[in-house]
Amino acid sequence: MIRKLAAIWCGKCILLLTKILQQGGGTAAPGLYALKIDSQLIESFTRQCKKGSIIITGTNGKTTTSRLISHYFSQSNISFIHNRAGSNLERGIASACISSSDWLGKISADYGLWELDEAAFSKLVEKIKPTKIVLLNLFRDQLDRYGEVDTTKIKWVTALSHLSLPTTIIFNADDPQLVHLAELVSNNNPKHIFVPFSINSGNENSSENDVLSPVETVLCPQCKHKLSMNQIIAGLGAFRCQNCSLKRPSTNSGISNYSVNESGTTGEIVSSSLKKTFSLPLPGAFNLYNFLAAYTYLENSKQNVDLFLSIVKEYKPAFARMEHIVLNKTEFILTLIKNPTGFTESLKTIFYKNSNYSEAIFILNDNYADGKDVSWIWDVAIAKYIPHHIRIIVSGTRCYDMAIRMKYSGFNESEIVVCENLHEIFNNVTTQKIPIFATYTASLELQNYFEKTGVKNKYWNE
Amino acid sequence: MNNKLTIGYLYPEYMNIYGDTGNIVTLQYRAIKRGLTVEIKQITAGTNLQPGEIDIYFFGGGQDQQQVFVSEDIARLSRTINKDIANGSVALTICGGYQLFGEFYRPFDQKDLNGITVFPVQTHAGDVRMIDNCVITMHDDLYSEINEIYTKTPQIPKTLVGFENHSGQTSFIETAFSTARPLGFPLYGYGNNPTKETEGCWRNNAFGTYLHGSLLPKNPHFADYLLYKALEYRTQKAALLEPLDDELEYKAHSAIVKKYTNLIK
Repeated sequence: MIRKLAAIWCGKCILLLTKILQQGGGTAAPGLYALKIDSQLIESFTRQCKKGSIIITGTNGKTTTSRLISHYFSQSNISFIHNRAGSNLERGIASACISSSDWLGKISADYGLWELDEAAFSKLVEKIKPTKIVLLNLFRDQLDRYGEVDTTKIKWVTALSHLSLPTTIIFNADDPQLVHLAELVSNNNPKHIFVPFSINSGNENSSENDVLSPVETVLCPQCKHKLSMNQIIAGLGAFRCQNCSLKRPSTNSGISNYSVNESGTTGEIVSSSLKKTFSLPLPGAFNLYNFLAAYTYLENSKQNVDLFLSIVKEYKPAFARMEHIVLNKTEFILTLIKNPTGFTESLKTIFYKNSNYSEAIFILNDNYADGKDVSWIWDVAIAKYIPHHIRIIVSGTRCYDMAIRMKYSGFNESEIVVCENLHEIFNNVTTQKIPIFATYTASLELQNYFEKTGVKNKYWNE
Repeated sequence: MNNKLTIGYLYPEYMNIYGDTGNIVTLQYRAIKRGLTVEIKQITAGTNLQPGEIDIYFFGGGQDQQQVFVSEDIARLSRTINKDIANGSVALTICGGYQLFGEFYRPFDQKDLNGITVFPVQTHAGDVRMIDNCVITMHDDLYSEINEIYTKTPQIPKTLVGFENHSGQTSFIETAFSTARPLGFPLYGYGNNPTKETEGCWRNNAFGTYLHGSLLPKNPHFADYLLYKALEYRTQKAALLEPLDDELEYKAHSAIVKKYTNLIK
């Protein structure tokens, strides 16, 4: 108990200090040091959530999905704690708890809402003992940090199979990796309840097999033969193995008849044979999965999904998820890029059907949080999605890597502007509406830049 | 020149997760700039292959599980590929592809994955994950050969840069094939194994390396060397290459050299 209090007080002091000194958002440091004093902190906090914890994990979409759920919780006056500032490791959860607890370590919340990165998930899931887990997708991510997809999957299977309490696992049934995972886990641990969700049909059923842009390979995770698939987004969709028994399971909740436009998506959500229309103000087909994941969770938890469908219309994107920022009459649309699938999907969305952009900015950093290995940019179908009249501005610690990537996609060298320093970008823009694609630490730098010019609040205060 | 080069992309749907595709993009781009046409032939499970069809083999890195499948299938192509390499066909193999062009890959707890023994190397699973940027000095012989391929030789760095991410430890089999040499020697990073003594392997015109990045975009001199050799193999005569404007490429190259060799001084 003394240890726990010492840890909490230490964390709270750091939190106060960061606020006074305005150094960072206090989303990692308080938890980091508190955990050094008491490594059991997470357990003692999360078990205080009266109605239990929910964990959101996956390669892409964690932040958007958990924010959709937290948006609903807030609007419904449900009390909850959420590691919402994007620190999705153990220290982020500890920080969120320390910040909402009193000085005796008591928290009063109904739910804990935790977004966890792929590696943190397998380490923490038993400590948190969630009642529900949402698995979004499992793509290739930063290989230097997470290793290969198969490695991550094996860790998930082990962690989920050994969970001591029966848990509801809500998963994306369009992801062959997750369907395979669900089969393995349910064989090992039949106590769990599996709730699949999937997208049934839309207007984007294109198959993308381009030898020079193998964005995500679709091989059967069970037997390694080729899957036949009606793809919705890279590597996800209605699939069936030609060789073994693996196929997309039938699902209770799904989306059909959707259509994507520049500002968002509309469609029908079908669940328990009821059909409801929705309008999601988030562009990009991949956001349908985040939306559907949140919806499936809420429905499974007997929440008011009609309320959710009505408030989702006013949802605002999270930090650097196609966020609009206006600076000196120029509108920037900031998108975070971190892996081939996410980058490709963002390109598709931004340059959807001959958009009016005539220039675009790409910022590639190679700090630890971005992934030190930048080779993944070569697995993105640049030439396929960026129209060739676009003037390209590149920056970041790996600006020349990005410049060559563009050059080898057919952009004329003389049309590629390289800005070694970030602030040079803003002297080089010539149009009024420009998309920016930036890796994580580059997004933070941009955020600082925008803050200094007074156009945007600190993201951790949003 | 109105020549056609055929690139054989080995198992593209299995061995493609480390961004190695950039190498194909680069070879294709630089060949087209020289007035060549390029055909990319995917060689995968079930593909028939005759000796002499392929001018440049390319084989990238894949996930461990997929490598098991590939090692079983590639055995049937071993004769053809080895024959082609003996005749001077070019090969660039990276990471997992490099390992399968060696004698075997020995995992901790499963049976060996047999390679096709183009290179006299063997790889053992290890518990050190070698993940970082990597800068190597090329083998002297390679560097002097590269200096002979251009009509007008530009300033060519002696380094190659890339990013390695492997736990397999590769070593030369001492007695076999005296014709095999290392691709280079690490200035920064690990290379073949944790001793940091050598990186990659070079035999005839076949190369194995741990460098992702992708490798060729940031190492245009090496890319041109592969093209030069492929063209020589295809046409049976040497033809010097016009240098291209590689300002961006060499800036990307030297940024890495500067950053990481400064670290070790």
